[in-house]
Amino acid sequence: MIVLTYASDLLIAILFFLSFYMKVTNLHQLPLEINSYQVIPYYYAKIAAYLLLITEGGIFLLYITGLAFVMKELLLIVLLLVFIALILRKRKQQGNLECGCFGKADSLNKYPLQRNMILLVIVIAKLFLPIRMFSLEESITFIFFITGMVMIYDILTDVVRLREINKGV
Amino acid sequence: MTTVIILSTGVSLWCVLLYIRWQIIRKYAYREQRELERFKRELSTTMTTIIRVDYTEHRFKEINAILTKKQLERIIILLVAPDWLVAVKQRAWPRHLVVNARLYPTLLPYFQRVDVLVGTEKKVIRFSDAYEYLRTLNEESEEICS
Repeated sequence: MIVLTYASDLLIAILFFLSFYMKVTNLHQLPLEINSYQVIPYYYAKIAAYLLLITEGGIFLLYITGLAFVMKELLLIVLLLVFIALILRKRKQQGNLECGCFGKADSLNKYPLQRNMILLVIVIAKLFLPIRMFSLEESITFIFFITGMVMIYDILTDVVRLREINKGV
Repeated sequence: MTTVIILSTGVSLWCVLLYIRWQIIRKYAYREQRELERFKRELSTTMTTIIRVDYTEHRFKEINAILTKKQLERIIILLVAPDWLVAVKQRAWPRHLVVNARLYPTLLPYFQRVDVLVGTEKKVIRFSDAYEYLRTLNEESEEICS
């Protein structure tokens, strides 16, 4: 059972870091993305963008270090519910099914609603799983592991893109 | 002790990865900049924003409505459409420079994930959604007018 706790913690951490990283590397895009939901007035989109980044980075760190037990799960549940509500609203208004939440990771962008629902179920299930112990070394290793993986993924997609352009010329 | 070892390995890994990424981005950006410069010279224009519009996109109607407005900043539109539609749109959007995308095949690979390229002096800023970009631009210009 403890394996499941580890797996769910890591899954959440990876997803949130991936989304954080993709947004940070394309920072100009983010206010537009937020504007597309048409909930926040145009001027506040930039502030909202930074708040979103802080939240996502914070959730990554919380799940890696295991701080704020139960509080962080509740925070994530509320956040996911807000996301789901926003996606539903956007779908009703514009009939748009995709979101740019993960930047280049297209497969994660395709079904935002289902993805968030699954994540929500995992977070709720996690509340009933056994508690795991956290140690500093472990947390640091995981941080480097996850950030390294995401960066390698980013580099690989860039290499593919560069190669396509070379083919065209 | 182990913490120190883990920390140093991790940080060195970061440095290597960041360096590789930086190199790739530089290479890509250089090509992109060169290609855009060439394109702009061919058209002999100084407009900085190039936007790709596909006529099969489901929000083409909305994009069309924004582009027909008068107060919008002048932009280059790379229109992916049949030749007759390009000809029609060249007359419908007189403020903008409408270009047939079929004539510039070397430029299209740079628009794979992005719809908008804004070439500033130092770097090229990319946006992935033409409609959202135009909507924001439109809102900005309306603010200035009012």
